[in-house]
Amino acid sequence: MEKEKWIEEVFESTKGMRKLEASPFLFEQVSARVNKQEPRLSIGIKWAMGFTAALFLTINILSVGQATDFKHQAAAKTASQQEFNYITVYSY
Amino acid sequence: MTPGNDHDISFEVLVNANKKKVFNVALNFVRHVEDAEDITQEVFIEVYRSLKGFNRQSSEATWIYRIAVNKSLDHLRRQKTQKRFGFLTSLFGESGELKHDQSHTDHPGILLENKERSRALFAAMDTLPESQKTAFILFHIEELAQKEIAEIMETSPKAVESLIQRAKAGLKLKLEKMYKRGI
Repeated sequence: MEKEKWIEEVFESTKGMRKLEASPFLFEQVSARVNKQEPRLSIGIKWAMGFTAALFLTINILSVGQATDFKHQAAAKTASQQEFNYITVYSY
Repeated sequence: MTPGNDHDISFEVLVNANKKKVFNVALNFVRHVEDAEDITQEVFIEVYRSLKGFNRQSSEATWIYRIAVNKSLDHLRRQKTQKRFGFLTSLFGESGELKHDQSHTDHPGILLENKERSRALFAAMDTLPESQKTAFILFHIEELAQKEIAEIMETSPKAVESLIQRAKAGLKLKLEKMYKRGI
């Protein structure tokens, strides 16, 4: 039958297909894309980033400590004022 | 990547040994040289990233084939979404046209005398479910053994055989309809 013959020919149409060559610069293209996506950092930059992070951490810890000191001082001042007021009221 | 590094030298060998195979697998799926080149690059970027974690449960070739198939299917899915989105944006007057329409693209490796018939085959193949299409391409076009296809698709040879049978039956039905319509 003609239809069956045609279908068979369609199935066979990929026979003898030519394999194409990939780009001769594929490795270079892949390397370029890998390097673009993952920029390498020099050791110096890594150390500088580490130092900056450590510095930030130290500054943060120090400022938290100072803030706590201020809070303590303020609380102490208020307490002494309250005590003074109490005494004053009591004397009155 | 650093020139002269042992890992990178072995990677270069791997790329050169497998690039033709990867490129042609991608080409069989997308039938467009530029897209296949792009997929090939993506495949080897993926290979480079996961080379250290490669557990050698399957052969290197099978593993690379698997990545190539997955990347090609991802590309087709993206293309389909883009096509749908293009249709929606065209409704609102913006141009959302694709770079090329896969359904009208001839496979560049097909012999001239087979172009017309292969166009019908590829059009019918585009209607198959992904797993059937993959099994059919790997078996019928790449001419791989069912056992190897099973390893690539991470399934059993029996399942691959069934997928190929169903793909052929589905294609036959589609081609019969095309024949009746005069293609």
